[in-house]
Amino acid sequence: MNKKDNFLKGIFRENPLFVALLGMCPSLAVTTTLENAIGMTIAVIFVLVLSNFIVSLIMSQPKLAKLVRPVRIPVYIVVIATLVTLVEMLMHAYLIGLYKSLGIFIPLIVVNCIILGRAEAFASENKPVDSLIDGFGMAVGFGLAIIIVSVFREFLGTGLLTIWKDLQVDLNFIFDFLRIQPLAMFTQPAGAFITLGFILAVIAAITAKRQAKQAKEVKANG
Amino acid sequence: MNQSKGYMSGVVLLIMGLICGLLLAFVNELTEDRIEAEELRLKFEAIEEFYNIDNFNQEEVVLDDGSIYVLRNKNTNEIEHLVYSLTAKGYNEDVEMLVAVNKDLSVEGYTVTYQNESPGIGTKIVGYDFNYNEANDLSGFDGVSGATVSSSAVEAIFQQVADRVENDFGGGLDE
Repeated sequence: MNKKDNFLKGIFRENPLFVALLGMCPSLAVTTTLENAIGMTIAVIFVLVLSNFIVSLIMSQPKLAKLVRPVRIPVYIVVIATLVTLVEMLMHAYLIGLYKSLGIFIPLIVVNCIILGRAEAFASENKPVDSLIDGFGMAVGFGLAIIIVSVFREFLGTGLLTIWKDLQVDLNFIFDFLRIQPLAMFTQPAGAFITLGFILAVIAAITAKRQAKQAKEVKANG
Repeated sequence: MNQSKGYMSGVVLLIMGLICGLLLAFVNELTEDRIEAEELRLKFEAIEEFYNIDNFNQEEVVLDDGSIYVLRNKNTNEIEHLVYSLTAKGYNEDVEMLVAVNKDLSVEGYTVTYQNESPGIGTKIVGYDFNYNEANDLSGFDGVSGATVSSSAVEAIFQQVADRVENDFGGGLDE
């Protein structure tokens, strides 16, 4: 697999949220506003890229890997927890508004199964540069997915899109035009499940259509 | 042989833990003061919505569940205003508010400094006029319709203020 494919697989073919359905808890919880999703994406990019790189660095040293292998899960957790705590401290110091907004979901990145999953499934068996690219691709894929979910939820729930702090796009004129109110339910947990369910259904429909087309082509070519 | 390998794995884990611990201690050292300053800045930024704090001698009285910022006249050292920073249980997490009260017990203003209420419903408590004008009188309190739990949190904070404000201005804070 070349580097481009390695990067792109995390965004499309193996998207952690839309295809593998990993990291659902933070995805559903923080997608109430676009700003939260962007903040979470930045945090996950930092942690996933560095954890993949560090785990791969450790496991690519044969002697060290031999010693680490029996205790690899605690080692991964120590690495990931350290990175998450670093993010938490830096965010608290320099982005206090976002820190308060994301709340408990920053420390919960430690147990985000995407991060531990990539450390075990990819970084422990591949070279550091490939692992770094894989981590970046997966984090971007996860970030894009939660950004899409948050755009739908915030727009449908409040009629706004909060990009960063006071930078807000007011789309209430669409609701005014349609003479309806925003549906606050979309900012609730039920709205998160409904939004994700619809997006997954659309993706499943597109995938099924593509597969049917490919099967037809194969049949036509004998 | 296998036993010593196991010990070595444990030692590797211990060393990694030590390295990570040292790194965190270093970053904590770098960010600790800034975090404290940022938290204070947030508080004072909010207080300055009500008063120009440079005109007063300021002190903070720490309570079990919040604090009171005491603004004293620079000449007489009498208490001119009290700004309560208090919390109460909201729908998701604690709601934190500042309530500014003048010497004559009139409410100068109030603002929500932290909340994690349901967007579009509970979040309406931010900037809402709860019709709270006299610090010791909650009879006219008007909550946000549809956000009962969040409004109750705000009312509980106002009640805490009402319960103690006369005593605080009457010398209770100086005892």
